[in-house]
Amino acid sequence: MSLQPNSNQHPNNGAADESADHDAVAWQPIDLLLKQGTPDEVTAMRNEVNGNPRKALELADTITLVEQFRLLSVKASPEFAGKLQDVALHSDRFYRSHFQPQSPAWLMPIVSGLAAAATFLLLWGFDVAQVWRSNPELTAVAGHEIRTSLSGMTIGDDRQIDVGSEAAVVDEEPISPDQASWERAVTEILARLDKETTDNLRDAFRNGMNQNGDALKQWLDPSNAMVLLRLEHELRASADVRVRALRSRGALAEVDDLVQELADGIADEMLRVVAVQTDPEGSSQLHVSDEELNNISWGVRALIASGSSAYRANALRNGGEWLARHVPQLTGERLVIALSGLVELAAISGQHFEAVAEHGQRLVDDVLQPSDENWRRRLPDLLAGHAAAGNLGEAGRILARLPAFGIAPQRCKLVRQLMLGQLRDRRTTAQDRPEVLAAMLYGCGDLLDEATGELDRIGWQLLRWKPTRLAPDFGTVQQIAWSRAPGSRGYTRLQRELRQLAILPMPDNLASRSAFLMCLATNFAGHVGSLLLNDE
Amino acid sequence: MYRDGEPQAFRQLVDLYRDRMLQFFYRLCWDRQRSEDLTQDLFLKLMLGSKRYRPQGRMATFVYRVATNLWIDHYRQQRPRPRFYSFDQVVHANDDSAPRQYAGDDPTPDEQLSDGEERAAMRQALERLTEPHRLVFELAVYQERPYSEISDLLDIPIGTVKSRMHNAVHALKDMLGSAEQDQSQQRAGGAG
Repeated sequence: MSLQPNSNQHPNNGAADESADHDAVAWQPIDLLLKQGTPDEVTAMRNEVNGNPRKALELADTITLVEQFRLLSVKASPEFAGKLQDVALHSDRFYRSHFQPQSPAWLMPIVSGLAAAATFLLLWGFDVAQVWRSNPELTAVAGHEIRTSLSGMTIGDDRQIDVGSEAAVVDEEPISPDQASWERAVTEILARLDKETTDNLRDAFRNGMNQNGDALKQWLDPSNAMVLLRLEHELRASADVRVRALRSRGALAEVDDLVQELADGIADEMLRVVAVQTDPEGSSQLHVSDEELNNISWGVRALIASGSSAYRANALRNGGEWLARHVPQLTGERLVIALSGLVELAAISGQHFEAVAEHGQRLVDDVLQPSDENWRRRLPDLLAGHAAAGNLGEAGRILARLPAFGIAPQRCKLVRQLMLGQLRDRRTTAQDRPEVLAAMLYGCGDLLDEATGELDRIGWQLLRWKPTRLAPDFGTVQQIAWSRAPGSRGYTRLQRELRQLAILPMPDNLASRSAFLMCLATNFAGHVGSLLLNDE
Repeated sequence: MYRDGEPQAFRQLVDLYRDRMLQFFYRLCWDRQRSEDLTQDLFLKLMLGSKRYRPQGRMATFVYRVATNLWIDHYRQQRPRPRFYSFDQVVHANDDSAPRQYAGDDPTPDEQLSDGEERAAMRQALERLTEPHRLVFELAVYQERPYSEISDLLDIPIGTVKSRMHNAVHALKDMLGSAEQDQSQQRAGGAG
């Protein structure tokens, strides 16, 4: 292979295109990138790049181009798994008719003869019903042993046989395309986890797969949490309720004045941001920056935490519509940020329920559905090391509520387990940072291992960081404050420290100011159910 | 293995190649439904062809050979009218005519929304490549096949594979560069 650059490689230069001679075509950076050629040739190319800055720049340019193009892909439709399942079933039949070893020719008459003799004997004198009568707890259908719990049943023998038959039919039920696709996904995820990730992530996935839990509880708890969120939001509209909650936990009643003043300011600013994002003809800009997204989502949550007010209702509604409009184009952490506002809004008002259901499902699928990028090339975005711990914590909180929107609770829990595994990874790699611990407690507190004392240890470790020292990272402070429920260890001490937040300077940024408001509103907005108890 | 008494081997093959092949066909026809159908056809062909398969080469080469032939047959069938271009032509002279030959090819509003400007520009650039160049680019970049295998699959000399690949990359760089320029000019114009 010649290593001289070829000047005849321009796309419009047709003469060079159909070179039949391998050696006549000089190498290009794409060849090195794709490692095309023998090891010697690749080494030679690499050496030439090292000695030639122009080639190095060209190579960098080509890498960028190829990486960009590799992002172009398509997600399979739900029907695709079914189509492939058809192929697989077809292949089984094809195998049986073409490749399965045939029985020897003499075997068939013998088998037929034995079957005929057995049938004759059965019809002549064998009382089949006696089998059921003598041993009602054990039935055998088509070679399957099926145990039915009949001891407490009062139905007759005929019914018992029916139960057995039904069980046998259920046993034969073919798996659905969704099940088939899920099983394949699990296999791929496990293969990837076994291959290259740490024990934490692998254990988290295996634990998640093995823990089924109480199915009814898994649906009911999130639904009840939604109802409580709505009821408490209605209660929070009353200044008396807010002040009473503040006083009962040792905070100053004046904090509520500060919260309401802040909330009015946030509402005004949100209306301005949303208005800028919408052009005069009413069509919104498609691109949304991280800053705008954070501002609106945190703003929505802050307005909900501060208690409803007619003055701020317009900002809340517009903020929710803005998030719902942009959420379809968001993925990964940005999807989490948008959903954090939308989930709370849907809980208190029922608005954008369908959007939460649709994009919440997408959030789950983004983690659990293998694709060319996810799991095969790299870990999903939300399980990657670059994902912000705070967003993982928020994702954990959202996923705990998504079953109330009709999303399978086991899958939500599995994603939370994986996120917890990722956060545990960060702890083991000496990143025992407050935001990591706060995210674990806030997003996955119910999944932490109490038996090994993990929950307690994290709680104690978090007490080392005073909220005032963590400022201006009010996102972390909010997660710490909202995850430490009344009555838990260290709660009183945290309350004492949270009181000092009120004297801190006001953050400039809308998202930080919203997080700051949420920290101040902890006593009447932070702990689901506590306001109702307090009010009683 | 499938022929030798392991009926599960075919399912494993499907699992191994299903997504790769879906993406392969998708980036050639830009139609999800069609690419899923082609992927299904591919596995049926592989199953039917398993009786004739001789385990001389690598399995992957066999799969890609069937996939490439399937695409070429499909491409010929779907072409509504004869289109002539020389093999040394890298991009279609008229970019509107090339991608519009498939029904259902237009991106839906959802797709338009999810495709950012950048993705749309990349897709357009790929669509503008002529079929021989696009196929080589797909096999080399996305499917990571060696040039020698591509040469074997497409039955063309390895030098031709290389030159098609190089020209495709040059053309894509040029097209994306000009697309970026257009966008920045539009933005500047809009701001003005």
